[in-house]
Amino acid sequence: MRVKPPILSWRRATVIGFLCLLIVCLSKLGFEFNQLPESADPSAAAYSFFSAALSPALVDQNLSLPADSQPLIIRLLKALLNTLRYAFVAMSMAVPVGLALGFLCSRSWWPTTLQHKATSIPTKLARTTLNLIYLSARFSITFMRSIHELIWVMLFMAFLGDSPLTACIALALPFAGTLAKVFSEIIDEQSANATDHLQLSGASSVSAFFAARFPQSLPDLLTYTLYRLECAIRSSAVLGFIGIETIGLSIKQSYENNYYNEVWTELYLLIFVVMLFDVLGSKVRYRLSTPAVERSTPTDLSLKSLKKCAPSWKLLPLTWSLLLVGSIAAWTLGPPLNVYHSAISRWDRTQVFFEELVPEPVRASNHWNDALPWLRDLWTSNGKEALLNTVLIASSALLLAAVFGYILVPWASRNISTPTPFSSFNGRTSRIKKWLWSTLGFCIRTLFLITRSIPEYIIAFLLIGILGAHAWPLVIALAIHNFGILGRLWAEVSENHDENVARQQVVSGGSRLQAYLCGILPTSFNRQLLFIFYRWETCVRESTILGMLSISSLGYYISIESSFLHYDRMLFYILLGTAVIFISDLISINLRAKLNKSGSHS
Amino acid sequence: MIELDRSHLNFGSTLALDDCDLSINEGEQVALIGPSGSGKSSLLRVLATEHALVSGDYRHNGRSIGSLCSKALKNQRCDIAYIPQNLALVSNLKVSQNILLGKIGRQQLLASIKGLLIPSSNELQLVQKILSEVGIPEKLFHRTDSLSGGQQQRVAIARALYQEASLILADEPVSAVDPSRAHSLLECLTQMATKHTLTLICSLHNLEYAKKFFPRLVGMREGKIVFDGKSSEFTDQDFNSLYQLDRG
Repeated sequence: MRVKPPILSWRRATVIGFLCLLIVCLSKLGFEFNQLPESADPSAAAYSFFSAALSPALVDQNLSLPADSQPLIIRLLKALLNTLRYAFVAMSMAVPVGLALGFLCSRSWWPTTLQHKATSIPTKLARTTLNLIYLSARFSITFMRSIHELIWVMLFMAFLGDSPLTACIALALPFAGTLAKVFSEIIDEQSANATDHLQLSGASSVSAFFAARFPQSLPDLLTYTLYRLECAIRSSAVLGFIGIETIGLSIKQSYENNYYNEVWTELYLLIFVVMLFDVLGSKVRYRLSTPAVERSTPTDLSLKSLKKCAPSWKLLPLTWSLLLVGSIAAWTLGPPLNVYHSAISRWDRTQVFFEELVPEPVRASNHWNDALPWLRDLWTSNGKEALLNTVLIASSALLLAAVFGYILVPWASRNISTPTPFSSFNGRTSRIKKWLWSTLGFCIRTLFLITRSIPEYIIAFLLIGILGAHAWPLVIALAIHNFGILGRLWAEVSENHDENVARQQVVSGGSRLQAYLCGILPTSFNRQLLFIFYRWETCVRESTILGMLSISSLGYYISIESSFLHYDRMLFYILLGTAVIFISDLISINLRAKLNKSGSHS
Repeated sequence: MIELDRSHLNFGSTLALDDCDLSINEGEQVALIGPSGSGKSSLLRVLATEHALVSGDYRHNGRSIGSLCSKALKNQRCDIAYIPQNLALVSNLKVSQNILLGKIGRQQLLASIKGLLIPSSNELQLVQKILSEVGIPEKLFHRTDSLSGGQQQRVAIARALYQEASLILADEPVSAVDPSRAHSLLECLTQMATKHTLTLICSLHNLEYAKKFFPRLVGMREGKIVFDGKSSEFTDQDFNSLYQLDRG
């Protein structure tokens, strides 16, 4: 009997689909990486920039500075402190709002009777009210998230003036939306056993929620909050590019003056701080997920003695105290956050801003019908092309990041890049070989860490100086940053994967790579795909704002119209970007749900 | 031939194997018995080369496993088929793909991926022949996680047979199935071993099955081998002593 396997599984179809999409994107982008004027020498520019990496500046490169000006290092440390300060201020606003909205976006605190089909009129009314609250909260967080923080900053600055507090509020808004979304997902994913049991014992649904479900989700909530703080530091640095005094502003000024050695000092400082928070985050994550070991045996069974010897991690209270002190210090110490220098009052500015948001023809005629030709004109002249460019840049960058990430991920995983893969004996191994395996994993993990530590906006800004203003620098910048993020997430997936299958394959004589490809990849494939979709949505948002660096994506037109105070046109491009995010969010949610469903069978 | 000489193994402060001596000839069928935590699984893992001994020596076909370099160890491993207690099947791959993974150690990286994605007709026919031997030929292209526990155990046995190893190690292969299925699975496993002249070492909790299907029993307690002899020689007194039932 002739045996034939089925032709195409959905997994293979997905991989083939992704590769085809990558080819289409690359052919659209073309392969002309350098688009500087003919007189420019890109290799010389690249050489002088990258060679400066080996000799970062410790003193000012600008020799014409007055003698009494502050030394470079002091200036940079101040800029770095400002970066941290604004990140802490923004997060201290975003976390409580995110928690409140996250609670409203979860259905797990609803009384059980309201979660199912309502029968009596009061129950129906209560259910309708709760549904309204739920849907409004969901819509709010999606809207907050769908506009990039830099665009929120530009919008807020247009009517509140360019004070650091305005920037922090604008930063807090999308962060609160993202926190709320993830918080609600974390809360909903917890097992309902404990809350059900408490409700059966007579507790109300809300008290059961706070007594059982919330404490269950707390470790994940804290871990994610720490991760968002790391993101807030990166975003705070980027605020420098729109004039707020953070390390980003120093990078921008040094680069524009060709002080490359200073640029590298600034980059190293930023990378160091982001890496510090990343490492702290991973240490805290480990401690939150692992029970502490008993430090000493209690001498007696008194409460005091038991409490003294109770297993606990020292790092956790220390971290929470530091974060709390940091937030209080960010609000109270240093120069005032709320400074306003304009001659026009904030109220007048706000009024003008909101008047200008109404489309120009409508303002003139008072007829909303006149807005339609205006909208059509904007769409056909620039909107359509900008939108396509935005999606093209985001998709190409993500697919490139995924391809390179996929190649390196096995070697970054701690259970593969080790002398004893999957905790199995690997024969007599020399010390050098053992050292090489451990070093390989460490180097790749550090590469992931460095690439995700530098904000994509800064990478793109630097690359445009070397390659010229076109789409490729943005694609490369987004790809580098996402390569670091995907690499870390995927490496964690394979590290947390059940090792039994891969170990069995190693024991059957398979190599570590064969065991990874045949034992881990098939079952972790869905999870890896989920991360690609999650990053795609983020990439679309990022590629929108990267256009502000003079490349014709949506961000370019947003920044142009903003500088000409054409707020109505600016709003059109912002809403176009928001629509893309809404659609990509919907696609992403649907695909994730499908993948989760198919993953749950595996 | 398998030889263990004064073997010690520990995990942290837990002693898993304590001064074990064992010799098993080619083609022998041996059941490992003993209470939970007695060291049966640890012994099988050492024989499968998953763990290296802390002290003592393990020789397989005359070669000391502890002194092999990784390449030589890989060659030895191709000759040992290990069925762990959790079966270690890739749940969302097809039955055929899981069985094809049995020869992963004998193939280069690209060949193993090609075999997994586009298996040749010859390979598939061989897989189906083995599946027929274990009684589930119709499941060739089914997803492994859609199979019952007993069927998955048969897939794991089929994978071990496909590996064409001379030694099969099975850790509690019938722990998750009902008595009638357990009976047929063990019958299948021992018949296959006899048919292909394979050495079979199997850890079991059920003494009745151990005595029925295996001519030789090795009893373990607290990491030590406390009984090694013919099944027919294993008495009630040995049983009581092995499970410490006489301590009241």
